[in-house]
Amino acid sequence: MLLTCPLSWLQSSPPGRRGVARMRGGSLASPAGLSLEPSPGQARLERLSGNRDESRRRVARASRITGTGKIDNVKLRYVRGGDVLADDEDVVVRGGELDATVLRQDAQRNHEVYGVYGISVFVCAASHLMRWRSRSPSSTSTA
Amino acid sequence: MAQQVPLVHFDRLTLVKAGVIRAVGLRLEATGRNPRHFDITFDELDDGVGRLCRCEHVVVDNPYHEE
Repeated sequence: MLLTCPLSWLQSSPPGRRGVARMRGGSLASPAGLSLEPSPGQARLERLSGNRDESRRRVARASRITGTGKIDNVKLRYVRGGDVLADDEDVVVRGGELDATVLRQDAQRNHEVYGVYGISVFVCAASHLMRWRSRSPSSTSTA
Repeated sequence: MAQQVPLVHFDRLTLVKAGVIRAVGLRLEATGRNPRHFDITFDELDDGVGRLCRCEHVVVDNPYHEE
């Protein structure tokens, strides 16, 4: 059953109710009771720190917005600032092999929790890995 | 790192250079409290998984593996 009401009802309702109405109308910009923008205090801190980490925070917020429909259920990820990886010097380590089925399940699970498709990995320096590989009896290269 | 949870539970480990992952259009984001933990993130599930599987990589035995 579809319930409808005159526009004037919404205009006279409290801000929280109007927020819900906008969300149902297809906009997730300002869901009721949930702000995706930094608080005034956060904004001031970002200005003082030269906005160094702002791009990373923006990634986290954008990811949250793309998880449409479950915006009030997703957890915010803790995104560290200042961690820079070198293309050749840093190696990503993933437990197990690159099995598409497993990766798909893990990415979906991450999406359900955080609202973004993600695969959990660890990173270490290539020089550190040489010690592993010397202890490892076999390795397989794949392009 | 390989002798610690959770990697210690895997008998095989996949190694990919950070640059290779970026080169196929995937993002690497530093997440969580562990300074070595990252997420490979993407916007489209099938496309992202496909790109990751096509990355040049090496699979090695984990010398520290424990059940």
